[in-house]
Amino acid sequence: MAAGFEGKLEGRYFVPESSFSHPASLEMRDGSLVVTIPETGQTHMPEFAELGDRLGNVPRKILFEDGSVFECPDNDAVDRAFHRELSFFSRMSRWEASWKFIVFACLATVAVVFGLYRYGLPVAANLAAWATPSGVVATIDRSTLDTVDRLVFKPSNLDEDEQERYRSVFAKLRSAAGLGDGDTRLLFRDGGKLGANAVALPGGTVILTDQLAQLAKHDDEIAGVLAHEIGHVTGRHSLRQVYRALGIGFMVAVILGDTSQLLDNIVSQLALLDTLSYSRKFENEADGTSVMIMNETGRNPLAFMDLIDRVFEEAGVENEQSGWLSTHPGNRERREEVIRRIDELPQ
Amino acid sequence: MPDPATENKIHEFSFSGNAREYFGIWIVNLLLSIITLGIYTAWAKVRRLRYFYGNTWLDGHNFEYHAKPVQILIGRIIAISLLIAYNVVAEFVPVLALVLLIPYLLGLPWLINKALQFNSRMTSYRNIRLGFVGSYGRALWVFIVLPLIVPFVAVTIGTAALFVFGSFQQAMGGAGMIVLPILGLLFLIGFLLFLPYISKQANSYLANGLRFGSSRFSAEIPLSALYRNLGFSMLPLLVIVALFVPVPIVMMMGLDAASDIAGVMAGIASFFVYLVLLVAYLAYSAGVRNIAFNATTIDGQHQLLSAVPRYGYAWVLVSNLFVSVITIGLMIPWAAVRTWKYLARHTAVRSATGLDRFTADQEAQGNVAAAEYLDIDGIDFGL
Repeated sequence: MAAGFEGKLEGRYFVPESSFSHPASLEMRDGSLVVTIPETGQTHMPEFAELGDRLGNVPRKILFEDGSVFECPDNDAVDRAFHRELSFFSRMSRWEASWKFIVFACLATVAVVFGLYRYGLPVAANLAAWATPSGVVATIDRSTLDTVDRLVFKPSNLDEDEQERYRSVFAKLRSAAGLGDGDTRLLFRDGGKLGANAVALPGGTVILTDQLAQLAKHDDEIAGVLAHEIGHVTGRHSLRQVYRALGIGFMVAVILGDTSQLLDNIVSQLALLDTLSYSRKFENEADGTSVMIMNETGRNPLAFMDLIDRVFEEAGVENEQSGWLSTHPGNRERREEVIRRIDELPQ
Repeated sequence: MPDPATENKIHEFSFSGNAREYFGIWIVNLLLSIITLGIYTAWAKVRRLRYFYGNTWLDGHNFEYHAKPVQILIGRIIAISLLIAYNVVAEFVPVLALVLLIPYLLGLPWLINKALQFNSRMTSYRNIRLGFVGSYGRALWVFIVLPLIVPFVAVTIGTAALFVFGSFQQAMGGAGMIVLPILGLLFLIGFLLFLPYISKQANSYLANGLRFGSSRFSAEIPLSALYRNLGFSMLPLLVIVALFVPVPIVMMMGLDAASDIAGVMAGIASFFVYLVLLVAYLAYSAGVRNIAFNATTIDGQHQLLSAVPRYGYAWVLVSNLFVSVITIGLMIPWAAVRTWKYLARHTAVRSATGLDRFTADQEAQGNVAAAEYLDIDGIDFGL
């Protein structure tokens, strides 16, 4: 490595295993490196071990096999002496010091981060969601159901006839969405704290609460909500959401891993906002699926919006507009969007 | 025979890096880390630490960071694999995850020792490596048992107090909601009363375990100074909170609870409380650093000195945070250099015999996976 050494370096020589150093010079004599200490007139011929990579203006260290070190502050001279001008890290040091390259690196970083966030992440989350074995998803479903059954839900009080009616509606919607018997199932629960609601779990389990069923005035209203939940199932929204959150966490860790914990904490909180806005996107997508399969099964695709309005009325919450903190779009916008989708349906 | 010229000389630390130079290194690290989907972070870490250590000077010599990127990468892969495995277990068999917590807590002291050992072995000054000699029992006591005892004691005291007031509670009927804030407050007070003791134990453990070559660090950290420091860090802020937080709360009571203005007020108040707690925490840690450093000597001949202004330090870190956020990260390198420079400027060594007479020692190397696990988990000893 040190074979082609040329010229002479001035610096400091550290004796092995000691913090004592002398001003010294380093040069090549008869094929071996020689350290000369002018103060004492001594020379050493330690065997070369390693040359440290260049970094900023940090003094360069030349390490020897016996543990002694020659230190030289002149990085350019070291690169010349060892013919390292073209090594990767010496080039990188020159790039890092050049304004043009820094501007390029900034723009490239912004472009790559944006590209990964906008295009890479959804594609990766999608792939991961499709690649997740169904056995794994079923296990997630089971453990999630266990947890919510213990913490939120109570057994349903809907009578068997009503349950049977919704189940047959659900079966027709499911076939219209192109799903089989094993892909999704419908369960009934008393909503408890959750109240009037319907949920889709990652593995395709759809849960309808008694409270929502009681608020409905027509089967089409419930059918629309079920179709919406089937939309979450066909789109694998829950899994995609989980993978997206993981991906964002990973990106934040890579980008901010080296900075202070304080900043890392704040940005991790901000990343939650992304989850919220992305979940609005999924709600829109599920509405689209709902409109499509409701139309296909000959039901009124707008009916479920009446039910949703009634849910909010009942809870005494105004939800006309979508705030940037909400998981679902505002009701007025949402209704307009659903109407637009219905208008676009092929007659 | 001590040289009179160097006798009791004070050597100040200094930092020769600058934000412009570090920006270039930082942005290249960032770009390559993202393009390689995180793999380059190992190289990035080494270059960052080499830059900061290499530009830190004491008595005409700089520090050095010696870890090899491939080493760090392997450590990270092992640490992340274990984290993923644990999270998968926690997702599918929550009970097993809970059971695994016990061996995890028992293993943590070992991990901490190995990490401290690795990080100090990778640091050198004047061709001499630092080192760390830990003890499993002490680490278990200082980092696991003590921090677990504190909330336990605080909760016990809190519960006992609640039993005493239980009769009032029953008389008041629906006022059960008041239990939680009271418990929280007692917890906080209990925690604050214990904090200086934990700081003493943790810093004594770190300082007495540290080696510089064959020389030993030793520290006798005064507990009373740590309690005074707690007072200085908390009192002014408690006064500010007491004066200003009631304002928005009182205003809120006059408003409809669900109205937007009340929401904004609550937001401002909680932001303010967060900021105040952050400043108090930073001021406290600066004080602890000063006390611990000033109580530490190497071989009984070289004394560490630290005089970081409590609120100056808090100001540097909080303003760094704001500037970093406002510039969407562009000022992160500036902030990092500023913090490091600030700490270096307020740190020194008083030496009776000069700093060039240390000798090396053979010591255990520590474990890189342990170091990377604690790094990824955000556990930082801030030495």
